[in-house]
Amino acid sequence: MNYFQLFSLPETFSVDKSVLANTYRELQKQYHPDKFVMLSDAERLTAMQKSTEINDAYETLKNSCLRAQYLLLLAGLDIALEQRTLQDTDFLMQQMMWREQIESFSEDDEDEIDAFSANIQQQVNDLESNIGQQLQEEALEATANSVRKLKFMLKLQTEIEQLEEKLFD
Amino acid sequence: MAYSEKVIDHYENPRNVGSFDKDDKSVATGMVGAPACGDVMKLQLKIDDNGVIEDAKFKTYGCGSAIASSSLVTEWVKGKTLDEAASITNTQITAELALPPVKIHCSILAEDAIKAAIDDYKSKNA
Repeated sequence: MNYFQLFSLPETFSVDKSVLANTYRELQKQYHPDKFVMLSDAERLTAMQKSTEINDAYETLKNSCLRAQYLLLLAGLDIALEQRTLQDTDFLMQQMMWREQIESFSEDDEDEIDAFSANIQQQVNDLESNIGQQLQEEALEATANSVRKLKFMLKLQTEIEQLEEKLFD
Repeated sequence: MAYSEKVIDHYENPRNVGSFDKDDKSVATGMVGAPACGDVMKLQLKIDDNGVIEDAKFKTYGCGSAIASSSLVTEWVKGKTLDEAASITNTQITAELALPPVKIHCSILAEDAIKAAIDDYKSKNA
């Protein structure tokens, strides 16, 4: 049973977040370790494994990057642990410029940081819609490339969050 | 995770940070990124008329190991021919910096940066 089947969801990139969260709570209740204390060791172990699987599935399905990576895995392309480098010069030059910009922001730049952050979010949205499209077309290598790029964008978002914490908290 | 002394040394005193003009024909630029961690590395080599690397600069956004790997590589490539530089492997970088297995991708990034720079130089001067 794969993660989508476990959550009774269609195997698609777009996922209804509220259905996902509700199903997660129901499954968690159903397989809560407290319900299995009276059972044999073997049955308890099975329930515990199920509970771990539910958590792993939820973490994977709620995150767009992990979800896309998982759909690729189901389609036969495993990029989760790859060590290969990305060599798309234009994309990486842009990444470098964005990171230089993050470095240059000070506490007087709140509006600029907001605008910057909105731009990055837009880029993330665009990449995610590409990924949805590419998966639908079963263009696996193209999807993998978009997922790789998404990872750099998510790293940028983490850096913006860290910057905002440093400057404004 | 504990960094080795050599990593800390390169991280605190990075060698050859900076840029050359990427449109200069004698400058080779290698841009690489590691999707696994989102690190981005730019390595630039200045190549003289005899095909020898006379200077090298880098700029890296990433963890200590990625910065140390690129800093080390700028030291190693100086005075080398392009072929000699191309033969530098990530294993040599890993060994010199005593990188743990989870940081091996940083040394791969540095090796690929050299190769990307050489490719850039060859396509520019073809």
